[in-house]
Amino acid sequence: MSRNIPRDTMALPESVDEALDILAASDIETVPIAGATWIMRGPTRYEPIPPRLVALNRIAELREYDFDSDPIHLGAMATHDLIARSLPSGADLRCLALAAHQSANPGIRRLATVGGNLCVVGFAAADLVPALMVLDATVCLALPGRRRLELDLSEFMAFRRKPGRYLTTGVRFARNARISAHVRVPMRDYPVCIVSLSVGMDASGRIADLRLAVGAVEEDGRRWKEFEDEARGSEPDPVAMGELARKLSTTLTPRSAHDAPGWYRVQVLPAMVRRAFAQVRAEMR
Amino acid sequence: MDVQFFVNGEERTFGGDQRTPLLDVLRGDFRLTGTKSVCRGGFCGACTVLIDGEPVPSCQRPVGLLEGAEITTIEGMAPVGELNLVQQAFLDHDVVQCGMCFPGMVITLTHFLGSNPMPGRAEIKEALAGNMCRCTGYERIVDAVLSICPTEQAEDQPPVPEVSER
Amino acid sequence: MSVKIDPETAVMDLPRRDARDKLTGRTRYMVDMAGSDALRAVIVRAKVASAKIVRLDVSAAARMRGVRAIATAADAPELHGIGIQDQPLFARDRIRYPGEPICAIAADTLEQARAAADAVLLELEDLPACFSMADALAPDAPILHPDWKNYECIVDGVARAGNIAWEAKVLRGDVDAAFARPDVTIVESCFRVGRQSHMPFEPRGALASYEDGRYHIITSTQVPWTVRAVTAKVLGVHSSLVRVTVPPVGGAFGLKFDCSIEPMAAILSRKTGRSVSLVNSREEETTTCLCRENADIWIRSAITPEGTIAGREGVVLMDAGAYGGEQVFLSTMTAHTLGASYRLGAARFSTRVIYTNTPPNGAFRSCNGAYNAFALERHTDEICQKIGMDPMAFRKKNVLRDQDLGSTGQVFEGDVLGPMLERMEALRASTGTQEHRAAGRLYGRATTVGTWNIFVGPSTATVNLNADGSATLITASVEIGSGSITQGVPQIVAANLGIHPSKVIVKGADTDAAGYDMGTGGGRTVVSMGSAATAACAVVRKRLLETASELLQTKPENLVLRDGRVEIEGRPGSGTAIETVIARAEQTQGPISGSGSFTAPGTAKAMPGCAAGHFFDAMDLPVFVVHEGEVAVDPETGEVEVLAYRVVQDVGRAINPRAVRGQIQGAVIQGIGYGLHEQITIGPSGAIEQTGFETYHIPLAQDAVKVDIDLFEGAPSCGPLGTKGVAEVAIMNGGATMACAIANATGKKVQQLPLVASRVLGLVEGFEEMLEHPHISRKWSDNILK
Ligand SMILES: Cc1cc2nc3c(=O)[nH]c(=O)nc-3n(C[C@@H](O)[C@@H](O)[C@H](O)COP(=O)(O)OP(=O)(O)OC[C@H]3O[C@@H](n4cnc5c(N)ncnc54)[C@H](O)[C@@H]3O)c2cc1C
Ligand code: FES
Ligand code: FES
Repeated sequence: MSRNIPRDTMALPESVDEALDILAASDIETVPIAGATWIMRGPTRYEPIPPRLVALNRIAELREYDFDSDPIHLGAMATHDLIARSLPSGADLRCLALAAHQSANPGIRRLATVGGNLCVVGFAAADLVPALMVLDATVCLALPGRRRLELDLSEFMAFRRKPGRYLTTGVRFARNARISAHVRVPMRDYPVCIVSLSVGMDASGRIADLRLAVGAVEEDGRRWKEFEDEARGSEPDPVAMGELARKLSTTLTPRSAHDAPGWYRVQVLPAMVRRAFAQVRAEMR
Repeated sequence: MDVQFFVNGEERTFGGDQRTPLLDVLRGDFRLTGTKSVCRGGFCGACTVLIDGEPVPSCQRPVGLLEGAEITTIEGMAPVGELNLVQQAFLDHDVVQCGMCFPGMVITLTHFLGSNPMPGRAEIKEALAGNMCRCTGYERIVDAVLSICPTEQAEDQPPVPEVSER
Repeated sequence: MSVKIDPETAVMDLPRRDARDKLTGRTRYMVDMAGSDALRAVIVRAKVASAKIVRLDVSAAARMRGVRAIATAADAPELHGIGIQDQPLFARDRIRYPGEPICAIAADTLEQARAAADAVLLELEDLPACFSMADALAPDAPILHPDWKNYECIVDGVARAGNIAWEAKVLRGDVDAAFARPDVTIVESCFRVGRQSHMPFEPRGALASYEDGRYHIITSTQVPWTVRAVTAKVLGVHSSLVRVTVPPVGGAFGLKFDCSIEPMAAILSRKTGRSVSLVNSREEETTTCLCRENADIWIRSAITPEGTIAGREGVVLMDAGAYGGEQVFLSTMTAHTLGASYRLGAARFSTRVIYTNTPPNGAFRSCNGAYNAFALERHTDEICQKIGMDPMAFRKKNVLRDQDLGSTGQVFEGDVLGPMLERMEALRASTGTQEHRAAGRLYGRATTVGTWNIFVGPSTATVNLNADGSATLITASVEIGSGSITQGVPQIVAANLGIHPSKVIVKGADTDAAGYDMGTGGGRTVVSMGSAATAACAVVRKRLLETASELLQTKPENLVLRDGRVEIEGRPGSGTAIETVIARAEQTQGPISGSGSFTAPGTAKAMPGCAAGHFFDAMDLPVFVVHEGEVAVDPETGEVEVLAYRVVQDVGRAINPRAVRGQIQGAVIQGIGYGLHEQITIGPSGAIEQTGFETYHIPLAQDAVKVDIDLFEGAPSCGPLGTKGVAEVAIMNGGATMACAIANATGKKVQQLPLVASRVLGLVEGFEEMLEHPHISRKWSDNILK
């Protein structure tokens, strides 16, 4: 089972268990890397690259992708580029396809993974997080001691804050009959406000089933339950939805950062919500 | 542990720290200085190389991940003394200025044209989202690329945001 | 001998000679040159803004593995500076800004040098600091340079005091009387701009070695001769002991118009006897960038009922950062930018350069002109709004025309800006407008004008004719990406010698080979170096034609140089190949070679007494631009899309029209960056908060727009073949045009740059605070030192 950890700076395990063993046995700071686009850029954030990296790229299990099944399963190593190219074209998945396609830049999208996007701590603007939240995604985890765990993405967001060594092996989400949308601002650099939504209407065309997540505004992306609750039963009219977002915007605690002050993130939110509902309406026609 | 991979078709070995960005291995160890180190953060694209045929920023690739990989740098984009189509177009249209961004531009756009032989203006600009240039103002680079595309494209425009009536 | 050169023979779309290697990755920039034999060096920098250095102890660092030498203030005894010698190479007894160099360490590897940097002991005592110009001007402000009175200045008798490093004044006519007229409308405006960072792809750095008792510095600079002089000055050695060579430069934009870290590399190379490579990291490059300075501007005009400008006054506060640097020199440019473009009855301006405990600022393409144009053009539009006059009509009525007076009383020659405005209208008519693409967003269009100066000044060139009929051009000009020394000047030489520019070999800048040159920048290379090269060619031509006249048995006056031949005028095919003449000259008098020099035409004169504290009172070679932009403002996000951009630029004569257009396209996008995206902020500890491309946003391809360009030729120029500098001025009105167009789109009073999305949204929503500039007095006498 566990083998001697090489004195190298990078381990290249072939299985999830091997990777976890290496992580568990390590006495120096050791972190997994997937696309490495967060880790390698560390020095530009005054965070040195950790002394030891555990590369996940050789683990077959993390590279299992099932785009055509229901539920869809994405191994943690699925890149933004792969997701954008391979996701089926249904309206229910549009949020994720857009999120993957609009993030970062083409070179980074070829490297950055869904696992990395979900696991990076201290990054408020992860694009895939709100999109996966409105798809009710489940995060598949492997824990030390050969334990496996599945968590709802929102639970996972809380879980990942706690220290501990784990691997995300993948995400799973079911197809659904709702219509989804994803909007971010700005289109360049990191987003300062992201809205993902997925909405199902009843027979009278009113909102029956709504999930709406906000990213980049607060410290972590989250479902905006306050909005979901108020919107249920209304017409999915973009302008009215934008107004509702304005009314409820005090329920968010925006963060200020170099790219935008907190007030700006909240100020643009109603327009983001309206534009997301406009995408939905365009899809309904 | 040594890492072995191919650079411009030649087998190379690197025996140092596996966390080292490929960028530094190319420039420092192999003295292939055409790959430029500018932002070291995945933003500028000046360090772009092809890894197994895909253009990616080499500053973001720890070399330990590259066992067996095929890497093409700007020095390997055309035989010595020759230019590929994109390079030739840049030369013909006199678009180069300081030149620091062009290794990355050439690699990104050569690959892009391979899979999008008839792009429009907006698509080319989108493809350049990760290739910054401080000198040229981009548009003449785009003109040069369009000049080697088989047919003239109608001027496509960037998408317009949906704005509510005020 | 009168020289007849048809300027048209110089005009061609000559491609760049350096493009092929740049496209194939084979060009070696400074950053590519250090091999395994070179030591690597790092700078240890101050982390605080203002402190007394009690003790610096590098002994532990010196004992660390791989460390070869450490340079400290003890190695660089002298102060340097452009107008005021106020800056040490390494902080000596006092730290004045975060990032100020304390010492530099050379080691076998970068990692070792960095590790040693952490072992440097620095004992400090905090001193009070001022981070804004308002702080620095407060009555009880701490003085950054208590010793300011003793500093050496390039000119004497200039008004200076405490934190006011320099003051330049303009005073022409009775301004008080103009404002006191009962019939005038008075319009007053306040503006503020942040810094702009150059972000050249190649950072500043140097590779130095100590050879045969002399320093050899290979550096990425625009000013090899300045590097030579400053290195010698701070090291306290004779300048003949310094040699500077410059490979192709990977972007400069004015940042590299000053000596920076080269002397540190030089010291370390002498101490180690090895080559030493010292290159700024991107973070250092960004946080210590010699930015286009932040500035506060107040301007007031008295407008007559006819819509003319009876009087204008203005105060410009320029933030120098901790040392005077370029700002001292650039204070001169208020007179020629804010005080230019329009005919003024009476005028007075005060420009003050202020010390603050922030990183020093420097020169950036069109320098302070870029924000003075913003202030002037926004002010002009505010005037038009207040008096109810069409902005285009106002401009046509008031722009400087032939024989009009500038602010310092200089007489302008030629009618340039007026016709350029008409050409802009024609250009717009031919391209059409893009209002339809605003698609529900707020649409705005604005036309702005600007005046800038081509900085002539000393240059010298040598031209050697080779037996193969080629010519070698030897200068200290640098290829910074603008093409001026690889395209423009060789084209001028070629036209003078009747050969193709590909036959002109351009020697890379080397202070051991070429004579003094002021530097590559300020739009001056084609003009100054082109003139020096023309003078060199005159010597060469004379020898060539004299020899040929013997060979061909005809008078030199009857001969012309064309297509690599010497021919008898009017008889194509007559004469002989230039190689034959060169061979003959070699046998009879020796090889043909000539040198020539240039400094300034010396024709521009100000009115006596109008300017004080200026480096030049009148512009030798004014140059004009008219810009027009169309924008769509997203009222919900504040994002701005530039829908169209048009430029009419006074280029004198465009000898390489395609390259000129390339420079304009690039400069305009940088100008739009200045207007919309590029934001530098100073944090609570005086440091620049942006650290690189992640946080400082230069325009991306998707932010760019194709510029429609009309080259306005034929304006008076002292440049060779009627040329003017084209690359610098093209950035000037980018910020102005964005600001005016956004003001028009939103109907809001735009007072600040950059117009990042959050600021624009704040304007639209009405919660952007209005500027009042309480630290600038409305009483003229308070704004000048007695
Ligand atoms: C230029 C640039 C632009 C960007 N723009 C965007 C953007 O617009 N939107 C956006 O969302 N992101 C953006 N990013 C951030 C991007 O780095 C992350 O979003 C990316 O998804 C991280 O994935 P990765 O595989 O590269 O992560 P890595 O760097 O490999 O890892 C990130 C973190 O997650 C951990 N980790 C990775 N995989 C696993 C796993 N399977 N199990 C447990 N832990 C794991 C690592 O230990 C590390 O702490 C940008 C990055 C760059 C460089
Ligand atoms: S250096 Fe790698 S993207 Fe800029
Ligand atoms: S040509 Fe200088 S960065 Fe592109």
